[in-house]
Formats: sequence, structure tokens, C-alpha cells
Amino acid sequence: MEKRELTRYLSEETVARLTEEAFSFPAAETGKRKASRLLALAACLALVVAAVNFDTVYAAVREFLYFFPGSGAAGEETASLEYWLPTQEYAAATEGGEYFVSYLYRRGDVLSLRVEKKVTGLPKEEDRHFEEVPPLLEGEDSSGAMTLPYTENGPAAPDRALPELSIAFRDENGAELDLPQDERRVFAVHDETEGTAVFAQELEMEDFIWERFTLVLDGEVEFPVELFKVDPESYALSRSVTASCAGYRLSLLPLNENGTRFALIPAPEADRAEAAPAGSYWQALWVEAVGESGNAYPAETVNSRPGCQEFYIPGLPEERMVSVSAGGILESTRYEKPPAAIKVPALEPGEEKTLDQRIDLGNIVLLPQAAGLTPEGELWVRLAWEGEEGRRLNQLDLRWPDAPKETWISHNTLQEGAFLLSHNGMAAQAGKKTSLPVTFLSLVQEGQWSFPAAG
Amino acid sequence: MGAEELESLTDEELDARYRPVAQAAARGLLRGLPQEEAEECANDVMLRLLTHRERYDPERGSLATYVRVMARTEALSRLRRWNSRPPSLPLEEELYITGGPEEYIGDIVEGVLESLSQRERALFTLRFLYGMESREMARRLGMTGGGVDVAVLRLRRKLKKLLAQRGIRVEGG
Repeated sequence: MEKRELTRYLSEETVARLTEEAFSFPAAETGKRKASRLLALAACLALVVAAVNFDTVYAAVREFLYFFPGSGAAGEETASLEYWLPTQEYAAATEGGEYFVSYLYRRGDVLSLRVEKKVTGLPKEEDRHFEEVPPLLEGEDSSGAMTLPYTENGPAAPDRALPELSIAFRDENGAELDLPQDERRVFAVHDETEGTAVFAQELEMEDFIWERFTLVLDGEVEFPVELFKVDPESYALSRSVTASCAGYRLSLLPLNENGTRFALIPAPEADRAEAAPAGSYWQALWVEAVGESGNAYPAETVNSRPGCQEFYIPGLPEERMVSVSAGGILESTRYEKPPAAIKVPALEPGEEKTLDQRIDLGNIVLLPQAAGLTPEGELWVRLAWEGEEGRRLNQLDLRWPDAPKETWISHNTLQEGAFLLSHNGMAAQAGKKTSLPVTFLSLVQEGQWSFPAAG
Repeated sequence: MGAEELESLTDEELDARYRPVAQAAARGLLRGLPQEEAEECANDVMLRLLTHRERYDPERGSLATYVRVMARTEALSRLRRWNSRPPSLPLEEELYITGGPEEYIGDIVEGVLESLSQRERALFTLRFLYGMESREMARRLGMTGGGVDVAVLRLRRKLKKLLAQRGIRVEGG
């Protein structure tokens, strides 16, 4: 499809209406909105399937369900591969505590940040003393007796409040940036044995477009930050941060100094790139990092988006990671236009038939083996695949015939090296030939991608 | 302004009132081209208005809107003759549709715009339809320049997400 500006799809009438509204803003009344088919269509697309006439709404909705992400798909948004990273670590020690920025970077216009604050000098457990209450007098009820804590010098002082941490930002001119901190995770650990506490905050802030700003902690600790854009081309240039295996290249971008947070960018090479269907995206699987101590740490994903994932080591250990490895690449494709379809012959309820088909999707060959229709109206297809060693089918979505007025359920299960795909509500298909177009495919390529964790 | 009122104005009065409107609309879209292009665009628009007053339909909007839309159409036509994309928007700001059900795209896009708030629609119109700069937008909408930039950024993201949910792939922004 030819690329066209979005505005070119607007009718003259719409342009006029938008113009009238915008240039009268904010005093303009919204005006009478004619009940138009546009609003009706928008309502359908909102998937509010509570219409009086279910059939009409469902027909409109069903047309567009084809374009919705299937289960297990990583999402419809393409990740920005533009990263801005600082060139230094940020740490400070004050009377109020020790501050350390575990990571700080921008991915597109999303700022990711974690700050830790460690406070010492809190009351320790050994400073508290417990004494039993005076013995009960004869006949006194003991049910209300309780043990009270107090220190040597009198009643226990109220607990010193656990440290909190405020994070603010100022622009280059010193003006405070009023930014919502909705995506915020807070962690607190209080060690009563040592009398210390660690308070950590993680932030994900959208619409963050600044490259130079001041990070202000608790209103007094200030870090002047300058972020530099990383050239994506350099991902593939440095041998130390790129690994190739089984036709895929994996590039590593460290997102903090000690390598406990990093991005992995997979991409097919050469023949794999040619065979990959248009619109495919890739993710690394089974990722692990090894620290200086020799300990291996499984990595967890965060900000998982097609084409570029971020990983972190749970607990963010202090030691430096020395190597990272991945055990697989997931190649996913959502087809705008189905490239092929499984042909199902006419089936009677309770009947199953052998299929002998071969569907070459470019990056894998599907082998439909059998199809059947249960007496309850569930249509199923069993298929295997042809591929090299270490390459297997992970998920397949098909477009099934309409199942009006029923809640349709689709199952995909892997049994003994073959996929079984089924869909209920197919009783109306009895005696009819059916075509099941392929709408989504993902496959796993096993391998070993290992490289030193640069940083 | 009603049709009768329009008829009562002299050519000079119409020109004085609405030539600046046409020029402003054209200038936003033709930024980057020689200044004469915006002036000539406004000339063409005013000529059409003065010679065919009867074509203005008050039911569809104010006269200023009529002039702005004409100016926009003429400006885009001039850009095509220059074999150019609208330079008013930096390349990274433009939103392109690259995939989706062809026969429904227009309806879907218009439906998504209907679902936006009035302010969001105003931001969309001023930036994407008329290429207006942040400072001017801020003045019109009662916002700061920086606030406009962030709001436009958020709007682009929202539009991409809403359209993607409806099966339309959008690049840019």
C-alpha cells in the first residue's frame, strides 16, 4: 500500500468542520453533531458489543477483529530504536542519605529511571526492650494483658519514618518540569538489624523530550544530566556487542554502567532476511547474564515491544555483568493479507479426513495433516511443520468462518510435535468446504548468542 | 456571516478582512517555499471568493473557515506542482498511513478524530492541517509553547494507538 499522509484521508466537509472548530476554540460551541454513520462506525470499533441489534454491530466488529493482535502477539506498536544514554553514573552522599541512580536513559521520548536512597542511623532492633506487665492481682482477668515495648529510657520513641524519596526535573533554564509520574514503582527495605533502609523508585515517563536537564532528589541533591543519542548503526559495527548464530544477529546495548539493564535488538541476516515476511518482528528468548562472581542471572523482560526488548536482572545486583547470552529468537509475523490458507474438505459431524497439503510461508513450511468436525460442532485441524533443526512453529492463527450468535473459542495446542487448532460453533460448516487463511505466525529459532556485556 | 451580509460588503472590504486569513493559512503550509507562493495563493483564493460569492454556504461554517479551507486546498495544490511535501511539518512529525483496510481508512480516521476532545482536535487541525507553529498555536489555545509541543507529541502517540487498534498502521510521529 502506498504511504499517504493521514490528512489526505479527510473529506472536504470534515476539514471544514475541523477548521471551524479549531479557529473558534475555546469559545465555540461544539455545535450540533449530526448522528452520522461515522459515529456509528466508531461505536462499533470501540467493541462495545451491547447494541440492541447484535447482528449488525457484530458484523461490523467482526470485519475488524481480523486486524486485532492475536493472543501471544507482542503488540502492535513498533519500538523506537532511538536511545539516549548518559556518559556517567550519578551518585551522591549527604547527611540525609546516599543516593545512587541505578539507570537513566531515554528510549524515544520515554525516560526510564531508577533511583536508590540508602539511609543509616535508624533504630535497631536491639535498642528496644520488652518487659512483662506487672503480675495480675488475684481475680483479675488476664485476657487483656499484653506485652509492651519500651526502651531503657522510657516508652519507645515513635518509629522513625521510613525514608521517602522525591524526584523532580528542571530544564536547562532552571524551570521545574511539571511532568506526571503515573508510572511509578516504589520499593522499600528496612533492615532493623543494621538500622538501615533502602528506598527505591522506578519511573517510566512518557513525552520526555529533554536531552539536558537537572535531576533533583529530595529537593537538594542535583545531578546535571546530558543524554547522547546512540547511533543504531553502531549496534552492528562493534564485534564486542554483536553476536550471530543461525542466520540471526543479536545486538546488545547496555543501559547502565554495570550491565544489569540492557536492550537486545535481534535482526535476521542474509537469507533469513530475504525469507522473512514483510512486517515481521523479532524478540530474544531465554536471556541470561553472568556476573563477575561467576553467578548466572536469568534476565527478565521489561518494555517488551516488537523489535527491541529491554531486560533487567531482578534485584539489580551490584556486581558488574561480564557476559550476556540468549538461547533463542522468536520471529513473529502478522499478515495484513493472508499469504495462504488451509483447505478443509467438506466434513460431516463426527467425521475426520486426512489432508496432504504443503504451505510454504517462506520462513517455514506448514504440513496440514488432518481435519475434523466433532458432533458438537468443533472444527479442528492438525498440522506439522517442515524446518531445519532448531527451528519450530510457536504459534499460528487462522481466520475461521463466522460463528454468529455464539461465543467463539479458539484453541491452539501442541501435541506430540504437531499443532492442533480448533474452533467451536462450526456446526453450520457441516457438508461445506472451508478455507482457513493464515493471519499470524510465530516461530522459534534456537541457537546460542553470547557476547561480553560491554559497559 | 450570512449570505446577505456577504453580498453587502464591497470587494475592498472583503479583501481587507479576509486576505490576511488566506495568507496566514497558506503561509503555514508553504513555509520553506518562496514567500511569493503564499501571496499568490492568497491572491487566487481572494479572486475566487470575490468572483463567486454565491458559492459560500453559511450552513457549512463561517466565511473565515471557507477562506481557510480554500487556502489550504490551493496551497496543497501548489505543493504538488512543486513536487514537494508540506515543509511545514518536520519529517519526523508527519503521520503516514502505511497499511489498513483501504475502503474504510477515511471513515476510521474521521471516527477517531470524532472521539478526541475538542482541544485535541484543535491541536490536530492547527498543526497537521494548517502547519501552524507552536508559538501561534499557544497563543490561540491559551497554552505555553512548551505545553503545545508536549500536547502535540501526546496527540501523535494517541492517534497512532487509536488507529492501530482499528487495524491501521501509521508511521512517523
